[in-house]
Amino acid sequence: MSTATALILDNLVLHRGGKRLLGPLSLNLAAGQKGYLAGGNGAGKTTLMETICGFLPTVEGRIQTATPLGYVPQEPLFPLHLHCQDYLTQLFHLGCNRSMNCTQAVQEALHRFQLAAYGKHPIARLSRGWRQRLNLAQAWLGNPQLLLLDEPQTALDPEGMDCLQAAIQQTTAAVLIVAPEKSGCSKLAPLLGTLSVEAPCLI
Amino acid sequence: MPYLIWALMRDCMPRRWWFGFFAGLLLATVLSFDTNLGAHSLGSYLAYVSVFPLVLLFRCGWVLQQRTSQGWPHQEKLRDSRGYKAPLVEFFGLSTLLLIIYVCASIPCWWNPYPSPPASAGYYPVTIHFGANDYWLFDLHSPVPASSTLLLTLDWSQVQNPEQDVWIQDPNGRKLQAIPGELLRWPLSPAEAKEGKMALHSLPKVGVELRRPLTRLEIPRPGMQQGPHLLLLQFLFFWPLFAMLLAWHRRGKLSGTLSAWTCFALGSLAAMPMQATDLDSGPLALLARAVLLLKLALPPVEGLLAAGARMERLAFTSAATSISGWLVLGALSLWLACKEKRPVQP
Repeated sequence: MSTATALILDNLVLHRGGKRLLGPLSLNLAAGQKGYLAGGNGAGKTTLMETICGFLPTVEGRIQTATPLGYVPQEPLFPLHLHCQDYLTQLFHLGCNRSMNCTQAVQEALHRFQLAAYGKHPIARLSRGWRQRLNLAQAWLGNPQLLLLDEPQTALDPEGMDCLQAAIQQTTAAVLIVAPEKSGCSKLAPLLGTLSVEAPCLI
Repeated sequence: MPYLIWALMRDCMPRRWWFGFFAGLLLATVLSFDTNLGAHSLGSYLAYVSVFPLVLLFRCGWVLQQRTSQGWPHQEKLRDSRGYKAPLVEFFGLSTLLLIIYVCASIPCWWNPYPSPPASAGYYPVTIHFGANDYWLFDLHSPVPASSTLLLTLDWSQVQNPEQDVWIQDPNGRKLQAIPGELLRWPLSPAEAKEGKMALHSLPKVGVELRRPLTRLEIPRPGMQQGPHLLLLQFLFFWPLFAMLLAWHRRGKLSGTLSAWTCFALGSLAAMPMQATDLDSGPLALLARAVLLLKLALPPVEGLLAAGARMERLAFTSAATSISGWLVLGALSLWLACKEKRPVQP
């Protein structure tokens, strides 16, 4: 894979429950490029993201991604008993990036989404909106080359959306967002296409 | 990695659990060694101590299950590109906790305010398969400690000439003189102890009979100074079980709690001193045969978990090859746990 390409989807077909869900889908995302795929409920947005991440198998087609990946799931799962800072520190150590300073990387991730004041708070005490900010912060941790954001605007207040917009603009990583149309994500990245069962997206 | 190991240890053993552990250890010491309150035996202490790793096993199973529901598998997939960092962290974290448990548990063996249990021995009946006059085949059913002694009570009523010297001899030529009216103490050779079978005959054949119901195997009980050694063997018994827990959870796709129960069942089977006996036909016998087959597939390591009132019967009976086999099983489980998981079919 060329270093200038962050993501290649080549005739990818998505299946769910043994039935064809979406595709064939082809997409090339260059390094640093930002894009947004729109899709309604059940269009296969999350399935697409989980397949790119490798959580689901690729049945048909081919996927190539730059590494490391940052992923913002639509429904984040957290160890609620941990502090935000502790959680991010553990995630940082789980990765293999030895060139970065852990404390600095964690603080940057917290500051990027204005979570610094909540660093020592247990995740259980955070509201849904602040948890979504933590969800975004973990994806930015460890200098990812490709960011996959599944409905990242969920539960964010306008201030949170501004943080997200700024983070996307500042990052050198390629960013792929999937969200429903008119969700406000069109201002985060240019629309690449629409996911639909009837009309495969070819870009 | 040290940070992740430390984090896992905190998850598995929160601060209040340590208070519980030390209180439990204190209680185990009092109930085992106090001359008035306790059984005053090392075997009792070893039995109490063996509860702690079991609790840890189930606690770890629960923590692994919680971690799955907290999204850690996905984070591992995204961040740990080599795929073996997380299982190694879990294994080293659990090993460290197990080591701490056993190091703490061995403290009462070195420093104990109570008087040490007095030297004693356990006496076990022996099966004699072939008992014609002057020739006896003893079956001890399984390996016994090398320090064991066979106690033989001989009947001289049929002997024509009691003045004659009579010797009891084994097939290798080792012999002891039998004296009328005295108990014959036959120290087992290492080979006899390991094999669990032995043959003796009288020389010359003068009609000496063996009082079979009075035949006993004398096994001295390990003293306090052997406590740390026995605890180390217990550690070696439980150590591979934690690797198996990870393998069942990560490769077997079982939930953490179910993995812990599976390991508990496997550990129980490995520790069960089971013998092949004549089984009747029928569904229960079939089940017993299946369990026996599974037991035979595991290395015979019941000697590692010598504890309780009959502790001396099993202590130090596991061969080095069996222990190595058990550890290899653990290493294999760890290797399986470290192999990258395939994504599930949607």
